[in-house]
Amino acid sequence: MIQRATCSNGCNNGNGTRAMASWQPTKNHLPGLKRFLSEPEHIRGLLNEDQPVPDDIAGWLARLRLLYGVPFNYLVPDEKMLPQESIRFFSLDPNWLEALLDGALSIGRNTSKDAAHDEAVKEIVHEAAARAVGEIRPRFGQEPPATDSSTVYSGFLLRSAVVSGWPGLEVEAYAANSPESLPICRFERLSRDVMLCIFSGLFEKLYLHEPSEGIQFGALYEPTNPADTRYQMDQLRGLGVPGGGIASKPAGEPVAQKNPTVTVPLRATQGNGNMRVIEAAKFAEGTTKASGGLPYFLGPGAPSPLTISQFSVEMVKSPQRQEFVDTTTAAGVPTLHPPNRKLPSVKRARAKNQRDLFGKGD
Amino acid sequence: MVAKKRTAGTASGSTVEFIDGWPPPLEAGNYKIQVDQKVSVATESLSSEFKFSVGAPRFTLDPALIHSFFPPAAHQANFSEYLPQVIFTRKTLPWERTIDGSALTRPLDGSGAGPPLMPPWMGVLLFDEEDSLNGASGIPKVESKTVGDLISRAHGGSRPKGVFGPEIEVENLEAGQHLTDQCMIIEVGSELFQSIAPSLDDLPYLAHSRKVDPALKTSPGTINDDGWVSVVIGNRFPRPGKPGGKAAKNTAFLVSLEGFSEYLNGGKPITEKTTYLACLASWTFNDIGTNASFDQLMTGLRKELETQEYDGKLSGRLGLLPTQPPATTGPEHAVQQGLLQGFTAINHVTRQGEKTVSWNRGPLVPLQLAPPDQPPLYNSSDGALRYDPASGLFDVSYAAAWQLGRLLGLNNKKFSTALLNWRRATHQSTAAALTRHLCHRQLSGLLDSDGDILDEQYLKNGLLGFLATRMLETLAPADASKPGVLGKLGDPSGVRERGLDDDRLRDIVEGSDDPARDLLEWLQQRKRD
Repeated sequence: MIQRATCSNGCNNGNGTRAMASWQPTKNHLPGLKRFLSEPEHIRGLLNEDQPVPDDIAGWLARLRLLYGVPFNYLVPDEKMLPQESIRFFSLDPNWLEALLDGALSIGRNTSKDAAHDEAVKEIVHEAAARAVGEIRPRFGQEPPATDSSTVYSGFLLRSAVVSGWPGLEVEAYAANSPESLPICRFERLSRDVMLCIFSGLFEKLYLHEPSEGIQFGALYEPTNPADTRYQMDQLRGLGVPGGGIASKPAGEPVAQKNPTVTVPLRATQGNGNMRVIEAAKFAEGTTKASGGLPYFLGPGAPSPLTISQFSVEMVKSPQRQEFVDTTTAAGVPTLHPPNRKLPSVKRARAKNQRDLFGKGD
Repeated sequence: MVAKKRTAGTASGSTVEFIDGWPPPLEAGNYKIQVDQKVSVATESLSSEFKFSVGAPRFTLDPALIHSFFPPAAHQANFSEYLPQVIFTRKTLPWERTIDGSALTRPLDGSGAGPPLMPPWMGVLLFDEEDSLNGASGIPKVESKTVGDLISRAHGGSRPKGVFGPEIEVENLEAGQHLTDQCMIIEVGSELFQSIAPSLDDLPYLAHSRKVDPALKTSPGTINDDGWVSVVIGNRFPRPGKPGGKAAKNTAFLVSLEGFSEYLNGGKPITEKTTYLACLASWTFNDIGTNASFDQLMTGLRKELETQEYDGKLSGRLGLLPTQPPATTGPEHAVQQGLLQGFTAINHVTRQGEKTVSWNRGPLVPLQLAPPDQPPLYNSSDGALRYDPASGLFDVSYAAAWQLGRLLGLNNKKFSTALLNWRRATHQSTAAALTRHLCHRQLSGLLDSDGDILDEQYLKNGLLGFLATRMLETLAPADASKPGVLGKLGDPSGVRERGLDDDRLRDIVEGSDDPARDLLEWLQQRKRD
């Protein structure tokens, strides 16, 4: 067998170098080559032990697995799927991703020898790409999540003014019966008001958090019309003082206010309109409903005026969070055909193609 | 998916402690200690004086004392519900001086307790571009001037006429402070200043100290070891931007209010048109405005999600819901099932020009799909087409994915180059490995698994046999019409006739230290003969 193999360089350099350089097996050798490559240990012997697939390839394919570079209309084929002010949940179709990766790997797959090679290494390449997925998102010192080709991914698309208005939006997702939050693999604004988030694992609970960097002071501003300048507080906090009312709840414990009517007193309109200036002393002192002061709402236990620290505790604007819970299971969705079963290949269509390509002479 | 009622979410296990303030043991200023001693038998009394100053920031502020601003400087978001604030790394800073220069009355036992409402000496003033009051408008500019420019001529300074400023006298400058010291000044319309400045009663509520757990911070080094920080809050909500329109620019100034105790909001009117304020820090942020608060937007998302119901089941997953009631058979059933699995129907013109409708679905699907048993290998995107014989429809999803992957791969030069190089390299190592593999198989009786020779004599005999037969055939073929290697070396004649000296050959193979060299020499000698 050896003697019959010829080399590609031999034709140019004369017979003297025949035994050197790379192989170009003749057509008859393809089955032998395929047999050779079909042995997994042969393939492993061919590749670099420490790094079987170069980082440039595995890393880029891993980004592809997270849909970097995939145009938005592939993600959401119909705009009606993601209307204004909506959130939608999904899991990633591994078949789609493998087809996408195979497309990328098909570059330069021109000969049957290339195909034999690609067939032999495909599992190693796909596995290397799957492992590199966890390393795409910077972890700021934390360990990247372990991922492999069996990892499932889920996530959500959010199209809302929240995306542009609250750039520090935080998300947390939990799988069923797990106290550990799922690692985030991709979390990104795709456009001004569309956000894509992909977790490794299937989540059952999802939390959207208002950004909570530090402690801020403020109140809800939900104008019903342009002239509406009410800043309201939908929760007060206990102060841990005796005497009754909200003030007697444990210090810092939030107490929701139904239909928030606690309005922060603002200074009277001046010049070009409402100046949005709070009257802190008035707010800290008022003990009557008419004055709208905090001591009135906090109940008899609250001193008037409040101390500075008590006032500050009340004015803390806690970040809000929204919880989403999955009540359906994926299995609950009826299937058109078993998702993993390959459909019969389309022989009729292929035959037609060939006739088109070769049958019509110009 | 269902959305639950939103709740206040706080970092679990963290405690924050608030206190009214943390005045220093002694406020900044010039102090004089006078000791008198009266002796009853003497007419003269003995007296001694000792002067000292307690220093603290006054007209400028070391940026290192500022831990952070909120809203963050230069950020653009929805900040309209938040009062601007500055956090200082020093717990005593807002109370290190008094607004009117007087000393706080407090017990002298060093307990540090001050009066219940201590006004800080600084405040956060917030301006926006649309501010306009009596000729003053917009955001004031920060200018570099001197301490002398702040102080009125009557008090020994050089402040221009017609401009108001802090009521500070030159005599009250502390050790190390000079009229020529540089400081940052903003010139604000006096009426605008008085309308947005806090009142003297409000001011105490706009500063406090708090203790945070330094371990919870991403960069603990920025907070004092004991975890205490001081905070000064603005008294004005930012101007909201117009939703979808121009962002509203807001600029907050941390200013010294020392010397303004009588001229704050609700105090004596300022007759001068404008006022100088010492600016200790300033930062700008933009509010883009929304039609709704975070809570309202979340409520909106929740309500929208609740509309995603079909056949008594909430979905919320990415996909189109059928509009018709569920059918159990027929094309409607097939279409509804397709939609529920996240497919969309698209018009599809086949290569033959046939017009049909095909299913398409992206990578984001409303159900969990199992991965393929092994990765696919398609020769073309058509290879990834799927056909459902039951409905007669194609599923072009994976074909589209394959084609997209190919285009993206081609578009990325780094990847495509790396892929081609890698494939070429493994082709080459495949060739070498295949050679080794085949050799090993041919010589399987001669070599052990490590490639070591098992029986040397057997191998030598084998090699000899090879030389005498196949190699000889290569060198000088039995068919004299073929030149053979020796023929090509330039001596086609007579080799075959003379024959090979088998004894010599045996000597070379069995006894030589370097059989290859000896063999070559022997051949050359034969050639010369």
